[in-house]
Amino acid sequence: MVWTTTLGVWVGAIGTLALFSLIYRENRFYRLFEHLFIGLAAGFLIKSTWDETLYPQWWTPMVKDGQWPWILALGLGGLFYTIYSKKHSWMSRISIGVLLGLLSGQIFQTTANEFIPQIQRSFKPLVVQAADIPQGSQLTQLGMSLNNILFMVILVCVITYFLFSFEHKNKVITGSARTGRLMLMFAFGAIFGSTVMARMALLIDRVWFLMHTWLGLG
Amino acid sequence: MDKSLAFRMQNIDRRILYIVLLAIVVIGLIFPIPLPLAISPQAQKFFDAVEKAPTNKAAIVSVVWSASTQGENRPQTEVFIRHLMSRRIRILIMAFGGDAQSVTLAQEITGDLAKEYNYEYGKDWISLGYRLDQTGTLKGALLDIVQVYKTDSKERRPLGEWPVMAGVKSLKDIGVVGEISASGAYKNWIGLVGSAMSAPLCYGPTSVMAPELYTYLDSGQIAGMMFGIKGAAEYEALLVKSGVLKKAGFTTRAITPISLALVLLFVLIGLGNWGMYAARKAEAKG
Repeated sequence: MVWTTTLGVWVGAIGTLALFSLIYRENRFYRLFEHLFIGLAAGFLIKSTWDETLYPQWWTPMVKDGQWPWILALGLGGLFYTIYSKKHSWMSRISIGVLLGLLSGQIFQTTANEFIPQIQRSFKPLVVQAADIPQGSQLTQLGMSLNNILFMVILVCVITYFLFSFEHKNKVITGSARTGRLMLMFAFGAIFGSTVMARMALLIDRVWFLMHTWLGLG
Repeated sequence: MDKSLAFRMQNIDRRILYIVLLAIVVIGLIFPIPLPLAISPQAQKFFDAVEKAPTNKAAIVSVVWSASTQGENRPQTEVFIRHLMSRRIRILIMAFGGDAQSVTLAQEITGDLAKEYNYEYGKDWISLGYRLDQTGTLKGALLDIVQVYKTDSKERRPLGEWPVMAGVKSLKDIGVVGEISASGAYKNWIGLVGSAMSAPLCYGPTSVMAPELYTYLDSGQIAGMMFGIKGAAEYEALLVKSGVLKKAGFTTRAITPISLALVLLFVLIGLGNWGMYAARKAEAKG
């Protein structure tokens, strides 16, 4: 192992232990490494912004390839900083307006491409024929029909829950909206379970780093 | 009923909980239990999409994660790239997101695996670099990748000069796309370029994000998915089954401590709830 790698592993291990020390209680060791981490992240961001974005995409075309109009991007970007001046802050709206205009155009396309296929696929046959079963599926006709009916019931119930244009007085609407809310709770439960798993994975990664990479165990 | 025990169950010192959790994780890593790992349909579909990808076309590995989520995203990236390399498919690395660490991490992983599979930079794989603006980059790449990126990220040489780019004009010439992500960047792929590409789009999200992707799997907008670290372990098992890997690695080993930690969580939720009901009952009795 190269000495820089060894040093990197030691710094990583001490940093990990320092940040985990917060679990016990707030302490100076944790504070020191918290500040170090923030400083390093900020420094890395500046360097990477120049290396990966500004230098190849803005500086090189402008200075080396003679595409001088790129200098205008500096002016447009600089207008964002007028937000710090009460007198000139109105100028920042020009840049913000340009960005919002560009994004608005894209959102039309994104929305159509994202939701239309989903709406199309929600039209499922409630009585499935043999020809409707996709190749390789292990479901029977009856199983797939039940699956589709369940899908449709849940879809309608959840959409009913989000109908806010009128008061839910009708018993059918109330029952459907309640069922929809219950189904949403199931979904949130699944998301919570997944979140726990994600957090555990991050912990395990750090523990494995300490055990295996640093101490050579396992 | 011991009232004080019921109260204590609701107020266990968090440091005790963390010590128990740490002990479980360490024991689980040192002594992994061979738990059965069922391959989910979405992981199988991801694997199949790569397996069916034409070897004469390049693949895109899009990375949108940083060190903060590497516990899940690194194993996902590794198994995906390993599979592509085992099939000798050319790899183009794209990096997006709010943090440019993604490109460094992706290059590091690909560089390490390249030694194992004898992949040469510029001929078999290339790093296109990091872009903050994913929407603009993808829309541009749909027309002309070389014009959008101009140079590679490592050596800053004109992109068109590299042999790996032969026959790759735009995203339409790609065989398979896989994005490993800790953000909702999939919407850019689906919304802006998905319908114009013929390549299947596969996704490797963190477990937090994964539930929201099922609608896109159901609609066919995403061809396959690796569900966090569990998905990566399933993919690793598929690689072992297909002979790409001789034996399972860290990802499969991590499933034991994750399962044990989830059992601990169930127990703690149970104890907390039992404590609450017991305390209420004791209070009602006076």
